[in-house]
Amino acid sequence: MNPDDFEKRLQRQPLRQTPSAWREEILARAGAAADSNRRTRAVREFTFAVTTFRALRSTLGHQLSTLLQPSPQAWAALAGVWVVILAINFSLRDKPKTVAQESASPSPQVIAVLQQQKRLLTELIGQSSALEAGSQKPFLPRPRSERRVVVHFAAFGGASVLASRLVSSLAPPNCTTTERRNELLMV
Amino acid sequence: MSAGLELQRIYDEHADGLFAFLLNFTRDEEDTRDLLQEIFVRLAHQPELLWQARNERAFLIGLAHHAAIDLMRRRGTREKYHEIFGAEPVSVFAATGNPDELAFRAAVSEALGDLPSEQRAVVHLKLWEELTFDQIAEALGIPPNTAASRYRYGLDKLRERLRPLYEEIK
Repeated sequence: MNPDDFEKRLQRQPLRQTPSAWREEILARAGAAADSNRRTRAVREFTFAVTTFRALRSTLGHQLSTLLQPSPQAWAALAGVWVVILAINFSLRDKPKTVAQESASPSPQVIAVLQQQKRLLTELIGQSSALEAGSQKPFLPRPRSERRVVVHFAAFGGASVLASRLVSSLAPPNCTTTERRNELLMV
Repeated sequence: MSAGLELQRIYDEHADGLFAFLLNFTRDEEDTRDLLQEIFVRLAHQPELLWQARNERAFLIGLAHHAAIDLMRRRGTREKYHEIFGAEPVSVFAATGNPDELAFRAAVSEALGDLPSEQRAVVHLKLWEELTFDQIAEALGIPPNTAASRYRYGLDKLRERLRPLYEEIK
């Protein structure tokens, strides 16, 4: 017997098929199971959400009571202080709005006074500018200082001659040139 | 695709193969129906089971095999179950008008029923589901070498048992 032929012969034998009546029955039960599964999941999720919410509420209440239990008056006072702070904050925040609203619509009298002040200011500015225009002098170049010339020459070698002239010019009339030079050198 | 349509698709594609495997494994039509129904109810409860399956048919056969093993354990010892199976012979093959073929199919079905259930499962999956030994091993939760040896032993027994009849009708 050839094993391959035997295997092929066995493979050629057709197997029984599922009875056709089973399809509806099995799929109906599976569909019902799927529906109940969906409902069960929805109920489970809702129950979980409710349980979680209750647990959170209980925990929060317990923590708050533990926190506030030792000195409820102090916590109440703190809350009152916060209320006052918030009230002040809101009242300060509202003021600039009212100022802006008032300034947005000035009365005719105020406009007239402002216009009069503007005219006076214009006249004053016109007079002062005329005065300033009259007091301005033409630019005349002034002669340069002698000392600056002396210093300039001293820097280029004629130091001794010019220095003696400088000393004599700075010295008082009754002082000799030598004494004045020594005094300056000491300084 | 809705859950109902997905279940219909799975049934239309795999119900015949699962039916034949379970019928060959349990040798009882009522048990086969209960197990098939159990598998589809389970798929309705957990549609995500199939999402991670590489081979849908092999995965479903694995589910069917586990369900059948559980049923056997619920019923009691395996020997006792075999006695029940032996009392009610069942044909796993389709009916035919050819008397020789009919006799051969009845003989093959009976010889399959005499095999141990582990060997019968492997022979069925190899011959009629045409799975590889790796796929059989994955479906039944056994090593591939074990699947191959079970197939060889089972086929040898069938060949020995069916040799006279096969030679006669060949």
